[in-house]
Amino acid sequence: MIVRMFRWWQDLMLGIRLAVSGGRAGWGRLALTAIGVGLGVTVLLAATSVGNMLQARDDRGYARSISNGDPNQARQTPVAGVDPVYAAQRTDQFAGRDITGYIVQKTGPNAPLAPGVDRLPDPGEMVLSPALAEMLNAPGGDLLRPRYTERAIGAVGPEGLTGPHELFFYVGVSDVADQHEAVRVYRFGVPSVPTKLTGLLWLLIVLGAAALLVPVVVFVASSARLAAAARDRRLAALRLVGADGDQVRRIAAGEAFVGALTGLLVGVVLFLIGRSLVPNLTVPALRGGIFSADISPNWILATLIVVAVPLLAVAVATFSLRRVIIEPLGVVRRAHNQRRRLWWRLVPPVLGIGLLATQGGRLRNELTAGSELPVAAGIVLLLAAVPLVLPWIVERVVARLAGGSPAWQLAIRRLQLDSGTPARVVGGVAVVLTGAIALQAMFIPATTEYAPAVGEPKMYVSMPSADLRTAFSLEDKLRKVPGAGQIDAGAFAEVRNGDGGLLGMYIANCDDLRRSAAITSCSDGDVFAVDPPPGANPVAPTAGQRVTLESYAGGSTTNVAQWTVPAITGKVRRQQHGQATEGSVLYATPAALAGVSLPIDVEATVQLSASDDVVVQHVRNALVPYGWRATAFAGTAIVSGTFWLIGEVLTIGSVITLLLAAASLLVVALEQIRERRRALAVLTANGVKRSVLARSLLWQSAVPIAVAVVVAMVIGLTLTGLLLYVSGQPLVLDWPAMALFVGTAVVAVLASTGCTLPSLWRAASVEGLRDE
Amino acid sequence: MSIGLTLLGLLETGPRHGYDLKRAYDEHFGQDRPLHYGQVYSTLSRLLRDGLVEVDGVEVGEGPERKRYAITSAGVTDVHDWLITPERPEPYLHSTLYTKVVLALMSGRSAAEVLDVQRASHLETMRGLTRRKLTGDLADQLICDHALFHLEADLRWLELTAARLDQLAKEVRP
Amino acid sequence: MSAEIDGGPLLEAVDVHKAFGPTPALDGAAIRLWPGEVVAVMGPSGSGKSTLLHCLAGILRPDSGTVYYRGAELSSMSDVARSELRRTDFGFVFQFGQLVPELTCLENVALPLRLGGQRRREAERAATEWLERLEVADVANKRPGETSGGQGQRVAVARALVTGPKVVFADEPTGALDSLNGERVMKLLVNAAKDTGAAVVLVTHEARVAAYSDREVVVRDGRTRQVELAQ
Repeated sequence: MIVRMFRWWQDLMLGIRLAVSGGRAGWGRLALTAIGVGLGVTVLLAATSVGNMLQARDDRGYARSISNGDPNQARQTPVAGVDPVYAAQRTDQFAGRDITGYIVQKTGPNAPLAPGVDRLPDPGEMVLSPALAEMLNAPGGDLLRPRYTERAIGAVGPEGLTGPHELFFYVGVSDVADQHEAVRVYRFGVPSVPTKLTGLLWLLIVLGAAALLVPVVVFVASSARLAAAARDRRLAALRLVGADGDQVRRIAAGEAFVGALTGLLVGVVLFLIGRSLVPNLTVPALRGGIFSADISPNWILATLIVVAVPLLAVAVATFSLRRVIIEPLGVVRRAHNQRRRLWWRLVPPVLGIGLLATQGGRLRNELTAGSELPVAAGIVLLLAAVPLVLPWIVERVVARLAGGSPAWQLAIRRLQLDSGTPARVVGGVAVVLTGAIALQAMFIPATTEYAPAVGEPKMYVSMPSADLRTAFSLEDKLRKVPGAGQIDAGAFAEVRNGDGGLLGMYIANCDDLRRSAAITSCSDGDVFAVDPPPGANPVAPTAGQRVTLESYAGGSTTNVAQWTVPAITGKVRRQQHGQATEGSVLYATPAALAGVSLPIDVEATVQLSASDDVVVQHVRNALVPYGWRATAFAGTAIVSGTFWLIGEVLTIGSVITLLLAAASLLVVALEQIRERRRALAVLTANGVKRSVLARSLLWQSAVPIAVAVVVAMVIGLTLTGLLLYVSGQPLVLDWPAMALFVGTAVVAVLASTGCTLPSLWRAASVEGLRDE
Repeated sequence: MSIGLTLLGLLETGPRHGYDLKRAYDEHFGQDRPLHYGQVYSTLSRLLRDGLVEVDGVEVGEGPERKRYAITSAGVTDVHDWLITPERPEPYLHSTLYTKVVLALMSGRSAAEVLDVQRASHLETMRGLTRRKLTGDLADQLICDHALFHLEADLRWLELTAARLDQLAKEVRP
Repeated sequence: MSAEIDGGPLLEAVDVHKAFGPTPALDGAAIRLWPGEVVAVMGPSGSGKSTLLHCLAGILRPDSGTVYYRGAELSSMSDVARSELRRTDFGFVFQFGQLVPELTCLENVALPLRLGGQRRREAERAATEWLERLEVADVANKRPGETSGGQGQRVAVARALVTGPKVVFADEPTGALDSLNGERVMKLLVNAAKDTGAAVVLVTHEARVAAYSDREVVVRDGRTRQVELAQ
């Protein structure tokens, strides 16, 4: 037993010895494998960090929050010895980025502290996040500066920010108490609420994760098979000397193990480097950026990776040895080249399709318990089918090709001799493509559900003010904004009848009223009665009647004033206009309420020419004279936060995966050239032109990628169909988007082939003849 | 190969008795066919006549008197000329072997048989030469190799001929 | 080491057939190898010489026919058993490519011993002796790629003989060498084999190389032919 263990150990060590020796070529091979596995490990580690990263961001977001949005819990219970702070959230946008923060009003010296803030600002003071301060001081901040004129008394520390580049502020304001959504805060922070996922979103996440990670696994696997020909030759030599099948397998395992282990190290180092560089990333997709400290892998998953990657590499290496084990002469005699067998390659896709087919409609709304595993497994199996089926199909297709130019002939014959390597090379890209096709198809229903398209771009401005004159001065100010389109402004009050009933009244200037109803003549001071909608029977107050007016300026405070109804100018018919006039039985012009002192919210919409950020900034700046009372909201799409996040993560992920796939292409292609150095040199020595070699190399990539595109389309569309069936959605395909994906994949392959040309020239120089 | 020139070459290393010459010759070149004394002396007298060697001295003692021969400058020139003059490559087109193969074919015999037997015989000789080479000194090796390469050339011709037997048969038989 | 069990042949192939795809490589070949003898297998290219050698060595399984090694049927042995035989009883010298390029010459020679479970120290001590014996001790720590062709072949011979094999299979061992190096390799190979009592199956198409043998077997069109000279 001990003897046998010792011999096993010897075999493994011999494999390790083989991996780390062999001069420049050996080191080159080890380096390529290590880089390949390392890149994969980096991505996998990053993927395991996503959960912790989002959690850390969420935690800090909740820790500074004042309300969880539930109106029933909007009031905080008093805490003894704490002077509460009135706080309201304000949002702003600049240069396409969100700026968020709180306006705060302290009520005493023992104010609660917000995370990352040493002292909450008094009126006229502010505390900004470093990124916001920087943005204000930057040359491009001209249009932003008018809005933040308070004196900065400090910076928000990292514990009060979700990311290093988050734009966040606390501004001291003297009248927060009666403003929109003001909360009396005894302490900052609310308990975090787990996000609930719908079936569709869950599906999107699982599909996305699978589409990103399966290619990584494929990549790691193909890295473990780099330089297979040289390895086969080496192992065949060992077989000849009398190593038996098991021994050779152990030696190969030892060899693969070294590559995987080095790759693991490279991956960890790359991950750490990436982690330290991440805070410097300011791409818009990352919004507030990511703190290094937030990127910590989930240690269970990370441990799994550390164990699984070497195992995978060893397993792939051993598995790919099937032929060598049968044939100790390995390279000496190639007559035995078996054709690839199909049946076991079909097991995953058939199983995947079967699993998904049993789950029809089960993810239509909520996540159905018990569906997660079969659906996730089905997705992974179908995606994994791509690199399995591809070599077989490429082999069959290539076997049927013939003839053509010398370059084509060289390429085709080469592919016929060994189609496995090129098929594996494009396999990773094909998986990415398959995932992308399925993902975009799933995004179509998700987008209509979670990010409905908006019509014309608009801005919504809302401002509580003490009286109508101030309120309607807002409209004048907005009209002066250069570039602003049509402006509708109005206020809504309620009229309490003598009998206690409440009737709506819409207050606006004549111009606006004309757009709301068929009014022919109108002058300031007029009041119109509106035909009630059919079925409703509200009784409009009559002229001279003394009524009570009520308004809800500041969102929650009820204001009351007395008003004598003036003469009714006329009866008008309601036109379909907007929600502002909905339910109103009276239309009044501001002058008709002159002398009435009623705090009221005026709301305006500003039409914009398509997404003109400068006008948006001018509109916001026009509100500055009103302090922080006026709020503006650029009416772009209202996107579900979770959907948005998923979208962003998937976008970043796809870019990384595509880069990885391109990198893998390059690595494997370079390795191929290295391995075929001698053959290429012989061709050049025989007078084959470089251009012919280059074209033949291109064909060698182009043919497999063409097959790969077809396979990816077929499997991708199958997956799409099945997933839409599972989620009960209709099948809608975005052909242009698919064409774009296919184009990108093809370009990636051809570009990476192009990148290998310099090394082809070097290999093909007659110097290559001196190899070995 | 000229015995005269060979003896001259041997004398170039220093004057020798006729008996010494024969021994040296046999040692280096005469494995297959040792020289007869008569040959040595008749050759030497011819060389003397031509002025290529001269008698360096005579040793008188018991038994026959022994002359010591030395090479003359004319003799050195002759040896030099001989060494730098290429041998005429001799095409053995009408060797006995060729004749036998053609005759075998013409008479309807198995030419492959002739070839195989011939190869076996050649190889037997070559084995002997190889054995001698393995135990002998450098001169042995050189002379054996010379013979081996020639025999190998024969055999290669035989192999080629064997491969072409069919073709040859058609051409030879009417 | 009384190898001659019951005086029978060491290695015997009887009516061996082997085809690669539709092409027959051996078509009823037969050969006997006696302990300690050097047999040259001759014949033109493509005649099946190498295939015969591979079948004799148990690397290839014949389609039909039998190969016996010391009376045991080689073709019915398990892969593990045949591997072990290659490690302990057989040695190989090919034209090129049988050395592991990653390992140094010393490690290459020590390899069969280490595969057999010997400790590195002992294995490399034995390997060093053999390298010295084949006059290539100076390349012990170089990789095969850094040696000359002749040195590489001598290293290969050392490796073939290090385990004290009963049979050395040499397939065109001088094929890639010039005459001088070829002669040197052959001399060392044959002498070393004679010293250790190993039989040699020498595949060659060169008569000069075949002349190192004790007798020859000619392969033509997959069939063997033995010529007995009437002495």
